[in-house]
Amino acid sequence: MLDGEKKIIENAIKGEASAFGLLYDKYQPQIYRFVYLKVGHREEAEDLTHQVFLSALQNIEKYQHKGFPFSSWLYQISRNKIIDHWRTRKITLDIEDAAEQGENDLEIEKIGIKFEIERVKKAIPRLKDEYQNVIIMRFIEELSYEEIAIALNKPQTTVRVLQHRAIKQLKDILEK
Amino acid sequence: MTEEKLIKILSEFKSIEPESGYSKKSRVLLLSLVKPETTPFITTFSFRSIFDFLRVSAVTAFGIILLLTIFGGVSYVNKNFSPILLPGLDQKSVITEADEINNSINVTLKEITYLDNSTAATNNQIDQVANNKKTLVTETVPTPTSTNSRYDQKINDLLNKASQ
Repeated sequence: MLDGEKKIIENAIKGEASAFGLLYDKYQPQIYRFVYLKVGHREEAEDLTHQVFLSALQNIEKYQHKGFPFSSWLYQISRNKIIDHWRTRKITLDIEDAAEQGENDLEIEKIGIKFEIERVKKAIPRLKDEYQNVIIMRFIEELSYEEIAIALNKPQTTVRVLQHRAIKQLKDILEK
Repeated sequence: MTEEKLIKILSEFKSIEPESGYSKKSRVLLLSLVKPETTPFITTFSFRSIFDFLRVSAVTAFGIILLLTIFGGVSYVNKNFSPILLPGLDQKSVITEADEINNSINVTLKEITYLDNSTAATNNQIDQVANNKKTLVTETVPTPTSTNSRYDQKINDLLNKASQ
């Protein structure tokens, strides 16, 4: 969470461009990662991430700060945007194709574990949507259960159960 | 693959970042759409600005009052409690009196000067007259004529008769 985030959000609501710029700089990379790992395509991820922040800008007056990071709200917008993305374009990307498209995009230099990383990257989009969300938020963005619960609009206990099942399903996919 | 290893691999995805060119372009586009919140005149002008104005005015007024109090106090103390002033002393009458004394001194000085000058002049004239008399006495004292002495004799006789 940004220092003085509440005040920054208040200024952004008042129409202060620099305040919204601070929020963008802080949260854009993690929202992009979230979107990218779910759609598996760089250009689409960029387009969707831009739409997420555009929507946030247009609806920021409705945002109510409850002590949680602004990212929780952005994740909610992201999830809706991704759902709309699949619905409107009716893209049923083959998992393998998506993984291949992403292969050129991701520039992971750690050679020793590159192969395994690629396998996991390809496996994530094959998970159930809510499992993907929990895996990305919990293990990549390292959000707390509370933050994930708010972002996914689910109780914390449900988030813990989803996390357990997501890991199990991911391992199953990787072992196949 | 163990769960620990899987979690470790997942954490590697944190290095995924968007291209900087895209991020900059997207940021500029978004911020260009930001519209400052338009508030009605009554809200922008409202109580805050009035309170600000009142606050400045109050501070200024307080400063003026403070200065006046200080100067007034000093003046009052100087006027009423000064050791060189006597109670009941009317300054105007003192000044008038002082002027009168001053004028009388000036008049006296003029008189003294005048008398001094006139004395000197008188002395000169007396000296001149004295000198002239000497000359007259020595040079022009008329000698009694025979006619005068005859008349004087007659006068003396008459006076004697009258006195008898």
